[in-house]
Amino acid sequence: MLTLRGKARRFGDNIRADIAIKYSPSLAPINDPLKLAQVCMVGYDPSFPQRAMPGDIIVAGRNFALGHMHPQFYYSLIGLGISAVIADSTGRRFYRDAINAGLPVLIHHGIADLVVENDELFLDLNTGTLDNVTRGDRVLLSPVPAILLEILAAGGLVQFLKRARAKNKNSH
Amino acid sequence: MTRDGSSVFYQEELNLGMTIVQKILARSSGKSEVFPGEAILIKPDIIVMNDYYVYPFFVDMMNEIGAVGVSDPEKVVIGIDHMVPANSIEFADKHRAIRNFARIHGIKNFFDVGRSGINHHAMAEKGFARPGMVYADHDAQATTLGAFGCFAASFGLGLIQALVSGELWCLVPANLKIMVVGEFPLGVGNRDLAHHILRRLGTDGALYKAVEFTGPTIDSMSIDGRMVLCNMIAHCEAKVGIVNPDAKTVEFVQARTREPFSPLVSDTDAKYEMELRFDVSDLEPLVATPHEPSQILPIEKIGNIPVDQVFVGSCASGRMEDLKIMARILHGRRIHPSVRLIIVPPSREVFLEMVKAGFMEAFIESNAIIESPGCGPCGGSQIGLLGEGEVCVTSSFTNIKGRMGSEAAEIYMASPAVCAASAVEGRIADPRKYLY
Repeated sequence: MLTLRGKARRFGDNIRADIAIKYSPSLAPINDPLKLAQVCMVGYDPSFPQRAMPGDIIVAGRNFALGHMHPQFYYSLIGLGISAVIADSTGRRFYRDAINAGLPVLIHHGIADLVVENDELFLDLNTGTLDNVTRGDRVLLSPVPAILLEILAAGGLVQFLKRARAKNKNSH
Repeated sequence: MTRDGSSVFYQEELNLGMTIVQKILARSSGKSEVFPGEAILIKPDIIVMNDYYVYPFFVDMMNEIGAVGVSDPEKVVIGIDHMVPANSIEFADKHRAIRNFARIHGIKNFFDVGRSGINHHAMAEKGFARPGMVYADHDAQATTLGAFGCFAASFGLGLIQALVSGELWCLVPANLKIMVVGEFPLGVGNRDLAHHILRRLGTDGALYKAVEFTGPTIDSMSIDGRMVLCNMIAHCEAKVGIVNPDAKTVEFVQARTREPFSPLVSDTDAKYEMELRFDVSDLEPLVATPHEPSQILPIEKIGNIPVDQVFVGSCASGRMEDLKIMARILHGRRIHPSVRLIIVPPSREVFLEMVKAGFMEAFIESNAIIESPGCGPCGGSQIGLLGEGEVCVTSSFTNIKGRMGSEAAEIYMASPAVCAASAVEGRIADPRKYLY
């Protein structure tokens, strides 16, 4: 799972997490990513849940997931099958929470200028390289730190801790 | 080590010049130094939770992981602060589950309804925020505790890692220094400075940065004021706000705990990604307008804004310094007939002090409502909610849409002095004329 292939889905600057899923208290009790897939990014692109394909990679500008963020935002991305987010920058909480939920997030200044909608992308999280297959470009991203790769490889923080616990149990 | 002159010099350069945050994170991760952007594993000294997420979130995650207990019950602190006392069956049941959680896991530092107040204040008063330590919380406004010279940050639901393993992953933030000079004019204070900084930095001006407040104004500032700055910097997406501990900090903490601590301070030659200077000498009351905390105007540009409700409290205000200036304005006056004034002291300690100081009498005589320590109307589900089209002026943490009830209500944010003056006049008002 540490190499990913998908089509680029481009978003601009200052995408606000709550606006992206049109957050309202009626979403609060829902934590099933599959159910939340239908509200994924609809605040900016109402057809996104129909348009996006599993494996797609969101490429955004500055401050992706800015402002107040409910977990339903990153659950909706996971539910729709978005495989990674690459952005010039992200909200502070989104970076941590998305990685903890098993969704790779890479920050690379200037990435929004290098990718257009529908570009075919190949992302290697181990080396931090992004191949834009459509354009024939290769971009060296700031790599995901090793600790975080382990969490992503496990499928998120809870799974990572579950494995670590099982390992400890066996060694005692 | 080589005897070559240049590399020895290089070595010295590496060993010198660390910020307080770099020092705390290096110590907590067992490294000699840490660099911005680096991912490290830290060992938090204190792990704090409130009544919003213990049940079902953390309980469910622990079950999923198969963890039978928390890694170190001595380090875990739980305070009920959002719904005090419970205002719905849902929260009454949540609180029951939390009491049960504390009992099962042997968590001695559990503060039930009435024992503490808002965690971001009460935990400092109980001596859990000590200089030099890592204070880990899941709540976004934990930055408030940086006022005590500790690395106090929110880790969201990721706090589960600390709960079951005693460790937390953390990216080392870059450092931003905010130097503050000058003396506040009469009727202008810490909250106005917080707005001034927010106006300049904007909503992402401190994105994932450690913001260090320093300079003569910070040195002479009370603990209460430092808490306001560290609290409000969360609006700029800062990882932490922090003040180098001084005699005032040490005195505050030592009066409240016998637990040992070893303060760290920034080196004079520490490296910062950016340094900003603010002078408060000419500062005026600054008001944040609906629905964005960083949309800030000087009070004279606000115009005639009648208000329905005034609220002083939350994790961003309501400490003694704030209550003192409010009492001065409200003493011998009645609030405007069309206004509801809600005052919620942030903690039991402040509540008690407020009663002893005699402010309670002045507030009740002015027709204010005093509620028990907790988040109050900020959070939008406990008490004092706003109806459609209503206008509130508050010194609480945020004015985002729907924060205090109706999405069709408007929230202005201003200093407690502006709040008191506004309560008297029934519209957003300049407090300075009451203070000369």
